[in-house]
Amino acid sequence: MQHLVKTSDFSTQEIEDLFTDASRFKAGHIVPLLQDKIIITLFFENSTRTRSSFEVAAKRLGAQMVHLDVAKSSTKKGETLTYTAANLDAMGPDAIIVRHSNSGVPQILSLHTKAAIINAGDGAHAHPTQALLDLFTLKEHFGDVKGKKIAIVGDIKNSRVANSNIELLTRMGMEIILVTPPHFLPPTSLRYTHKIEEVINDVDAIMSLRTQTERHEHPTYASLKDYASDFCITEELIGERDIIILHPGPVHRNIDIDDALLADDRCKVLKQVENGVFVRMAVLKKLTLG
Amino acid sequence: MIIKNAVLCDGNGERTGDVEITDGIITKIAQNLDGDRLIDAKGAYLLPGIIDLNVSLADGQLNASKLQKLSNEAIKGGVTTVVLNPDSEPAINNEIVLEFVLERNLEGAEIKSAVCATIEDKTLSNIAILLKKGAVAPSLDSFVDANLIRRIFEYMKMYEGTVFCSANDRALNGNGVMFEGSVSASLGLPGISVLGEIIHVTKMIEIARYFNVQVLFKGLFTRRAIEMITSAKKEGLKVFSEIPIHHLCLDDNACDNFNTKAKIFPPLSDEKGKLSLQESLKNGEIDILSSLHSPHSKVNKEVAFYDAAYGTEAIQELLPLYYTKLVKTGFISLSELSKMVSLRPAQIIKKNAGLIEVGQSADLILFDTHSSTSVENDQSLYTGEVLSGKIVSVFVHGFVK
Repeated sequence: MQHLVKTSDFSTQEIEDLFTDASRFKAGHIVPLLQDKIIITLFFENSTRTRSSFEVAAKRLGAQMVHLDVAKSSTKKGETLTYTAANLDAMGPDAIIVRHSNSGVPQILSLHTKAAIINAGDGAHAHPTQALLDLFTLKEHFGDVKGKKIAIVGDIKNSRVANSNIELLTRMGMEIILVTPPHFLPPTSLRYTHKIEEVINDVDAIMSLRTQTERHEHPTYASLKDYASDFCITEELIGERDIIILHPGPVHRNIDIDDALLADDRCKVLKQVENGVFVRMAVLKKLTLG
Repeated sequence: MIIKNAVLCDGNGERTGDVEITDGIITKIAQNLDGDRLIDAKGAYLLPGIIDLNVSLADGQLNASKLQKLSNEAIKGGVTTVVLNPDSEPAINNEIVLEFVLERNLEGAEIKSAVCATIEDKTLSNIAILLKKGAVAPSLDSFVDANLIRRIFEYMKMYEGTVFCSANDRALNGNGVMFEGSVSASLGLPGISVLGEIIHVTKMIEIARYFNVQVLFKGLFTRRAIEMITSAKKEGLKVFSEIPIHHLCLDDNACDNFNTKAKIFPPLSDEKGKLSLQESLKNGEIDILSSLHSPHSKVNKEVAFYDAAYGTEAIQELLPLYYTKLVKTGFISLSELSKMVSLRPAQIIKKNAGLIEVGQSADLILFDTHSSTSVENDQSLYTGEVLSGKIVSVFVHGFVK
């Protein structure tokens, strides 16, 4: 059984085929391909948009959804993940969409299920469907993304979106520049800077990330305001440049991106949400129909 | 009892000879000894038993059956004396718990224990009483209140013993669960910075200097800490380093695929760090090696990496593991290994053992380097590996185990 735990689970050819499907869905060629399929959502961590996006995607293809609302934080003490996986699998679903605040949970589940595991975000590890929809959106705008430069701005170290995009976009031949304070910079061989002004003339796209100033009660930055004073993507910063702006949402207004730029055509946030449904439809089709 | 035809190897080198054991003590070493109970070693190595200074009970729980199990497992790996980490549940921080640990009739290895120098990092435990009751050392975390640290060192000035010190910084460790590096970044797991160990070793060296008290730094994982300890030694300080075997032969790639068996504390360093620790080993800068044995039930391990307990299992294959990873690889000789796992730990805990000499306790291992040992335990970091060397027999105080 194929799973989607991280972007590298799909080959470049598989991603191209996936995008062909997604484009066909976007063009309106939708039939209830998954009418007899049961898909479980297993969200150990709160999420509105990702879960809704998957649900809309599944329903458009005619699949039945079962939501398992698990306690917000983590699995119950005293139960191993192996056992959790075996229990879910015993119900015979076709796919299980998992989100967990701890890195690695979907991967461990995938070792013990016959159903396809689709990672809807695990800790700071991976968010493969987000990266796929980001790539789809970039390709939609640029056509060929090879050689294009993208700045990823924000808390990269703690971001599953950044982690997945770094793998995927690099593989597609894009050049990534990390723009972040030392606080949020992971050890990396990628180009990076602490000053966005240094790269603003070089980039074709900017991906802004949601940033937190505290993780597990340990402070990481003084305040969002202090962070935004250097890293907010503003209309003033972008000026007339031909740069598109992406953000996985939810956007911290005037912290991640300012109001004026959010209203600008160059900001593709809503386009990402729209494409997310089609990309997730293609993922569900691929993993439940093969 | 006489052990014949063995190659005797200890921290002083290798030689041949027969060894006579009477009442648990080595009483004679000479060529061609004869007597009523002969054991033919058939050319195997006779080594002093391993004294392991960094061992925890299963699931951190102290009870009679876990002590017995540990004692039996230790013997399989050639460990004749186990020194427990006292941070179990219940903690070994009072006379009753200490007595419970020490006054057992165990079938396998002897179990000794350090004691918590503080009670929940807030007040001092009865260090004087505990030392007189047989505790090998007070053990402390370097991040406790500096006043408590000062008082502990004052006790040890009076008792002329060793302080066992774990040097790390709780605040800097934060919510980290593995070495902070590119592997932790790609796994999306919070990292533990090397900075904690470095600054705390620096601090504790200065405290050791001020009081002129001997300190054993337990479970180190950075080259920088070892460098500082080495240079402090050159200035005449009595400070020593203990490194777990895993940190010399594995790196943070072992955590790939969220392998919780590789979630250990201190964390496995990155490859560069591992190679630099191997340099320290070759240069003779590492004083003591340990197993870092700390077993956990599946319920504590088959969970998310973040939630999993720290610890791995290593004591059952310890001597073949040391031999394969450190001696066969050419880093150190068998005699140097023996110095690091038997002689120096014996000196630290003031036990009359660690060498093959007349008058020493007959804690011995017969080790056949021409056979092999396969690691079957699925909770080991080396599961499935075939290690060089096989333990033929182990003697604890003259008794064959």
